[in-house]
Amino acid sequence: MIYVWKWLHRLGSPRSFFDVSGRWLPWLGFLAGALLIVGAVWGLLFAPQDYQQGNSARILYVHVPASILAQSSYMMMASAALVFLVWRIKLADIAVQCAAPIGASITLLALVTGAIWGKPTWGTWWVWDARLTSTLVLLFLFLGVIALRSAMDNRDAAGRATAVLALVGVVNLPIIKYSVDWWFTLHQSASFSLTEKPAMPAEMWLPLLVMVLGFYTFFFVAWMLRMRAEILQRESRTQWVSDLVRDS
Amino acid sequence: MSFNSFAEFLQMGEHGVFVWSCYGITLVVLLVNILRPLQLKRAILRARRQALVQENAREGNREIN
Repeated sequence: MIYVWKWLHRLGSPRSFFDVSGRWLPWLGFLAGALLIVGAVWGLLFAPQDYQQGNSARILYVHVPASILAQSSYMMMASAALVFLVWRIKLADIAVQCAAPIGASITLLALVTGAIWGKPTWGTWWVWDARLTSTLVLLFLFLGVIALRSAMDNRDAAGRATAVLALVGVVNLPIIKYSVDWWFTLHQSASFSLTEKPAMPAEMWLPLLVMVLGFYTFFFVAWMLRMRAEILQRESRTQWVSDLVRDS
Repeated sequence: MSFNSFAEFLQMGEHGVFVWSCYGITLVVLLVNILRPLQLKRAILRARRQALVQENAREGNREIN
């Protein structure tokens, strides 16, 4: 146990995170690419078409993983914000800052693929219903975190302010999740959960599962890459970065 | 396999435009998220290298004077 704590403590320093992530990235990157390619080919070519929606149902394999990741990435960003507020770990602040743009782009992706799927299925690109609106609010929360950070010059104050905003925004997550049960809506309720048997055949949920895992792995890869760039930026005047520059 | 020909695969019933635009946009979003930080990292290292070269030059001048 003591070793785990020591390891975590060491990882909390930006420099060791830079070293460790550099070793993990090739493997994670390969895994993410493999999962996404297998999942996309499986979903596009081999999964059966939906008996009502036909082939437009293949949008499922990008829309559902994007939507799941949009919410999870917010949760991960908020967890990093909590860690930063409680323990003042610099790396956690870097994690919050770097998760926001990725989360924003994935939320936008979920909204756009949802709109494109909505057109042939519901007959409209957009409705102001609870699920869609609360997901739009999620996008604004991500954008708010980005904007608040860039509006403040003092890094420490900016870190604390964005962390608080990120934490307050967590109230939106249960609203997104239960929106389809609480209000009348066009959006169908959850088709996928970890605890229950899926309401679709295995030929459909297996490629979906592969895509969800691929999206998660992609997120960790993108997050690490961004954090590494931010670490170099913040520590650019330190000796180890100078050594790194000289060696490269 | 769910399709009999490549043309059928591209058409996706009558939903080709919707399906392929979704997958295209997804690819773009994922790629940007990978390439942008790599580009940032390169730019930061390049800027730091230039700063170090200038510092070294200045120190060199001081020694000569």
